[in-house]
Amino acid sequence: MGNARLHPSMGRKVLSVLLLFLFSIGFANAQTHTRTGHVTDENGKPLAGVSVTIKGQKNGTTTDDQGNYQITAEGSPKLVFSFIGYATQELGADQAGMVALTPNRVNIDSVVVVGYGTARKVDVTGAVTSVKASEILAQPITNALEGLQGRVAGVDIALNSGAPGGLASVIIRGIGSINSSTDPLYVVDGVAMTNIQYLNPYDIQNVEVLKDASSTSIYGARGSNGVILITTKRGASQRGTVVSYDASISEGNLQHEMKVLNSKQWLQVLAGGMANNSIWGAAPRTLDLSDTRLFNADGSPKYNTDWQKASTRTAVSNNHELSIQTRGENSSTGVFMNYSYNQGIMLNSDIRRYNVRFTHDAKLANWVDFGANVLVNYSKENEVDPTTGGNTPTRTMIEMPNIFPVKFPDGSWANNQVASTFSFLDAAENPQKVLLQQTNLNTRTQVFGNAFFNFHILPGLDFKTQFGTDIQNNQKDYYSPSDLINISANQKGVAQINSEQYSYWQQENYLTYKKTFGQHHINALLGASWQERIDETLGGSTQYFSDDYYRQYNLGAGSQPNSPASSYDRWSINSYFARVGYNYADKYLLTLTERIDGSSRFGADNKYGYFPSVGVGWVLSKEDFMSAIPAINYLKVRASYGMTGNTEIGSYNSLSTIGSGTTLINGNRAGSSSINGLPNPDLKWEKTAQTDVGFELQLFNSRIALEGDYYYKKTSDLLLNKPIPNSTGFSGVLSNIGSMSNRGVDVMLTTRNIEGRNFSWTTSFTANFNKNKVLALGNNNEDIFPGPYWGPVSDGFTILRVGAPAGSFWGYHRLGTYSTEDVAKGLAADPNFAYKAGEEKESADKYILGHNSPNWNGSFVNTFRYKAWDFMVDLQYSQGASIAQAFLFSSEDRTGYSNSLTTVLNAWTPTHQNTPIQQLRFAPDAGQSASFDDHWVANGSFIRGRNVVLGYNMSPGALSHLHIKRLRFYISGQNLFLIMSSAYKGYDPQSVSWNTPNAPPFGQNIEFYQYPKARTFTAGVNMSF
Amino acid sequence: MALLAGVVMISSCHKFLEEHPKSQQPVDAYYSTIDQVQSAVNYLYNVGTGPNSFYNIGNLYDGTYAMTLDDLSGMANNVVAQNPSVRYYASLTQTGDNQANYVGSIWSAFYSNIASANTIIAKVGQSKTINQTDAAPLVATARFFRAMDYYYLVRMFGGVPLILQPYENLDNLYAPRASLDSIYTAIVTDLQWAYTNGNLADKPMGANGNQVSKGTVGGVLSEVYLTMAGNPLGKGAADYTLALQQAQAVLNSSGGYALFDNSAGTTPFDKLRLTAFDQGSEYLYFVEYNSAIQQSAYPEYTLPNTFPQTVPNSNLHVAYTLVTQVWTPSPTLLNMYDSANDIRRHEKQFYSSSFNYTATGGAPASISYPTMPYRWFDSTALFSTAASSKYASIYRLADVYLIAAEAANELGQDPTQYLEPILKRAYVVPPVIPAGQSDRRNLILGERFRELAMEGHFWFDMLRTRLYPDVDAAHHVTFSALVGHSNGRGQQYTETDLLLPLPTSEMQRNPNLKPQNPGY
Repeated sequence: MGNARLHPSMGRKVLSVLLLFLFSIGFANAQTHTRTGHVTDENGKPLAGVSVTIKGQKNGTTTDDQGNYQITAEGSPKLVFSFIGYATQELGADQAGMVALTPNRVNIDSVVVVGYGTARKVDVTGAVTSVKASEILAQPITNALEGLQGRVAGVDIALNSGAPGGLASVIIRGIGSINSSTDPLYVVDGVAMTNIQYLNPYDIQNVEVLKDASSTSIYGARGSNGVILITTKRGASQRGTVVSYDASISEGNLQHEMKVLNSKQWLQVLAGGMANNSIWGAAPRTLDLSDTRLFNADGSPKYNTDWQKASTRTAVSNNHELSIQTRGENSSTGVFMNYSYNQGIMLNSDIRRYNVRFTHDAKLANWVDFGANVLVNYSKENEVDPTTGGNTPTRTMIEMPNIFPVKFPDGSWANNQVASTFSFLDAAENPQKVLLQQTNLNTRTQVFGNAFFNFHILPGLDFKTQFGTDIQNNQKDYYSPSDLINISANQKGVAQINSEQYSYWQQENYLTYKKTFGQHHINALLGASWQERIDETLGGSTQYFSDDYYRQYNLGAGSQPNSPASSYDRWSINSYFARVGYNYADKYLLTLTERIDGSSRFGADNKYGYFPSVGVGWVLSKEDFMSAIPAINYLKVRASYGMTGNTEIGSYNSLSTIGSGTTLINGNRAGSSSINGLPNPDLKWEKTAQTDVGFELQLFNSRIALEGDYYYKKTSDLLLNKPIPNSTGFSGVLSNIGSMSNRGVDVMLTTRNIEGRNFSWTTSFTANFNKNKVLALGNNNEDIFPGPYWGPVSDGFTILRVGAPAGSFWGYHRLGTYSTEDVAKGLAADPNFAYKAGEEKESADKYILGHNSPNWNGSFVNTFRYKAWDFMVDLQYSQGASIAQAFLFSSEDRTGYSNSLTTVLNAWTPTHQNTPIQQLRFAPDAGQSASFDDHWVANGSFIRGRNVVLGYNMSPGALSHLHIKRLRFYISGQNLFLIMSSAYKGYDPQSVSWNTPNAPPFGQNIEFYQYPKARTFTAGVNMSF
Repeated sequence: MALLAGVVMISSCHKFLEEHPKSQQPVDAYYSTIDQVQSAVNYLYNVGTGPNSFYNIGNLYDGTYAMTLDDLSGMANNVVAQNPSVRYYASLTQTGDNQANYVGSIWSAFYSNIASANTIIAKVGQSKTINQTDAAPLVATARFFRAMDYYYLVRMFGGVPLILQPYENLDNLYAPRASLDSIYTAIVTDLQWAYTNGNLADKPMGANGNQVSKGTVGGVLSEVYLTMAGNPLGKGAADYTLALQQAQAVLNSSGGYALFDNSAGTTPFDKLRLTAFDQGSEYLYFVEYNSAIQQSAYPEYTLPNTFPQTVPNSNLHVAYTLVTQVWTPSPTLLNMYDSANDIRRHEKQFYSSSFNYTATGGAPASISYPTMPYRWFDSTALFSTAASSKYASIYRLADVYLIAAEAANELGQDPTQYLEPILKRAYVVPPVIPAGQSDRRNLILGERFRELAMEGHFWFDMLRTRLYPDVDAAHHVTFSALVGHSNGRGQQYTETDLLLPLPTSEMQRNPNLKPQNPGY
């Protein structure tokens, strides 16, 4: 092992010369060896700035940006590796080539990002959880929220779709709002970002989740749902240049199929239903198997198409990230580029994303710093029709009878109307054809960035002025060709383009003051903020095309244009904020926060809201009486109380306005207008008061770290579309009425079970228990049925009722099926209506059938390291949510229109009466009986094998001649297994079929088919030069 | 530092937080020009609101609300009835709870129309910038719609809140139920004003640019009087007289109202079907459709779902991906027609039971199916475009003739002159009008079922007369009491069925609506 051969390229020459120079001063005359090595975190990511010293000596060095160090020592001494936030390690110099440090989850000197600045973790009196990039990137992801999932107790992130670019729902400490948004506020480098779905996860340095009022009330206006602060990577932390390259390739497959009838079974079920026609007073009917394209001469089906297979594929995705970070004397620069291509397992669905980000930080003078950050994000997503209820591919891949081929031998496409003998089927197009021929393209362009000056006015006193902007242009292109039956054939092709452009800016100025007087530490903040967003949309659609050539590229080619549409929306917020943090002797902590927010969305006299909070903390472990318990090396208890607000409603709700459109009159569109709603000049802020009591505990030299919080959140003045009598002409008026509570517990436990030189094992466990309860509603506490609504469930799936959790399912109990005995005894009859034997037997009244959010959820992550190998197993669990399987309406409660689940083989017959599955009937003649009942509702609890990673770090010595500082290979598997209730018949019990961005969260766990999540295997490499 | 902080804090931001919507318009400045009022009146014709929503198809399997009342009357069936609410009416098992949403939608659609009409009427009345004479036809149209809204509500629900002023704030939201008398008085006041002072064009609706005309108002007003003469108000002779006079006024008008005749080889009943005649002289009120702008889905109810998508041995292909039997005539209804003598019952007049075509090679071919309505059969839409312009007829001159006939007969006068034009065109050999008042009543009421089928009148006629038709083998129709009568599907009407349940959700919102209609 000699001197590392440092290539002069990429600016490292300066660094190495400098290092050598430093060493030569310190050890100029000693008899020495130069030793080199590489230091990483527990996941194999290099750590820069780790202090490396020789035991017993003061001399030492630090690792460079690639995590490499070089130290000159006599003989073979012990080396001591220490780094803020990590446990100190001692290793013999000969064993110190590859060093992996394990984190101290809570280190009293570690610094966390809080609103408008940073604070020492020890000073924080609120519930703040930090997540490092290494944790977020522990699995290959294209969506940052996916990486955050399960990492923070109290944050419930549901990835509700397997589609690339599928929306995730994020709820922090329970649903706290009914009509307004429940999304947390995302703040990226101090600038609010509307949707972080498309942020490049590699750009993230760390994430802080603010959960309680002491930490969120500085964002008072928008803090009610919690705040997620994202700090992005910037220039290098030490002088020199670092180049990193990460790449991965992955393969995804359908995890499991839903169980549907095969061709023969389906024909039997169909015939069974027809044979029962007489029971329903319908004309007799028999199965006609004469169509020779589908049936052999003996009537047996020619095909048994697996439509799930025909609609899915092995998805191959890849991801490349290249970054160059440098630092010079007074400035640093970072350039980050990412390309990712993420294929979905359903045919023709994918997302391509291009990201470039540039950061520059400079010390312009002793009294002023400057920083800027510009991000350009462009993505193109081919989506599968995301609508619900129609014959979309996610539905038809289950419901298309297997007797039809994908294509006939002559190459022509089949659909379920190809045979006149089967024209009674609910007309459905071939899912493979729809997937391949329909366009659902989303193109998104985002320019996001900020620039700031930080003036150092006096020692400890800074003034920062920052301007940030988020400009997005989202375009949705749709074309459905002229031959897709029951989709666009009637319209001879439908083309549609909708675009939305929004521009957001914010300007913030604030003073910060940090000062220590003896044992007194003060950290104060005073500032003001302006935010404005303007949102404009434009849309047009046309139908009736003479051919399918133009698709959506020439809307003028369609002979029947629909009315074009455009809209304008603006909101603004003006705020003033102040915070004082006080710490006495690192023992006694106090944080006082006040924010005053004005929002344009509220009534003229109620625009401003006031959001104070107070937090206190006591570091018990600093007290003398605690030193008697050596096992406890850190213990802090803290409590906070405060208010936050919610303004996430539509604009103009306090006004009464005229809405205009057109009405058909005398063969033409004529302008028409009507009043949109009643004004409510009293409309004001929705407010949440939150109490939090928590502790942070570290035991046995920080090998066990435990953090726990109890919280109680009460949201009042709910922004609620208060039901008013429809006789007014309006169904509701947005008002501040009612209240709702969330109470729960967050627990995070990290244990370093084994810490050996060659082997280490770390476990982290997070859990959140949450219980939601509606406390009050409108004037008369009327039940509210917030939907989602759906034809067969026209009263809506959910109910808001005082005393019950929000998102409660509302329907009948299925008591089974009526037996012949019931009918004979006259038990199967209402006063007027006689049910037939074999029909569903339901309770007379409706009940609450479960709720859509979990009681418990969290993760269990184990990380192992053996020499150069690292291995991680990440399990996610969720308990207590129910899932409403609305798809049973057409796949079990109804036969004759489409294929069914195999459960219908257990249908009621005169000799098999004890079953919840109704007697087969041929719905086109005999109709069906189906209502939303608890037979549709299954336990939605699950344990998911979310991520397993195996990595190998090449030893730096072996790579030095390749000029590679670090090289790690890994393979991983995501969504490897799913343990769930057998009563659930779908793909994944965490799903949403009724969901639009910013919709109230009541669609969660109500499913009418979903885009299945893939089981994915990935191979990747991380390297740096 | 203090200065800096001061600068930051002082900046006044009142303007910054003001709202100035651009794609919506503040109410205060609206209703100040004739064009704005015209635009507001146009909204009343929207199929999402008011009477037009009652005849507009929502979910294809559910049909229209009017068809659901036909189900309730037992005269028609919805074979598929995916929506349980539709099935409940067919089996008389509707309750306040199981109907909350369904009747709630009906209720809301009418009241949203009322709110718009109230605003127009009040704002124009208060306006200093609008010429009241120019605005009269617009105000008359708003008053016509408001009257229609209450006319439908009061017949279905009984005493409903009577709101004649626009809501401009959150005061007095909880209006109690009004008396039947006061509601009918409001209806008549509006219609009389519209008829007399509205300065409306006196011509058929189609000739009036598909907008409400004097004939529209007159036709409806005569039926309102007829209703008031019958149940539940029971005004008797006085209102039969008014009904007759009002009907006569329309029938004697020189505005060009005329029954379709048998000209150019097309029967009058086929003219009722053909879109080319949708703006013809017989129509007083309809819901307009247009293949390019707002398509009619009615033609999808003219063939059964078992009809082959590709017609065997032909180039014919059903353009719609869905055809279905949402409105099929009941045996009672079909039996009212003498299939030989009644032209309306001839194949492909009002009904059809087969599809005839020329097969490849030239041989005639046919596909048979159970009797389906033919009134909405639009072959272009069915076999080519899947986009129909077929209007939905609600009131036409035949109704006015029958109103006059019924009113005259009830007053002891000879209804012949009103009945003859209807009978003459409907029968090969017109039946002899009997001499006795009761026999005539049977003929007139029976004729209403035969003539006005598929226009949503069955149930309202039953409510008005409290009579249910009974048919014998010779197609003679007699009537017996509605309450206690079978609906033809094994259930019997009770007093409860004479009103729909009030939407329970509305009762929860407005406790002043209590009590619920009897029996629910």
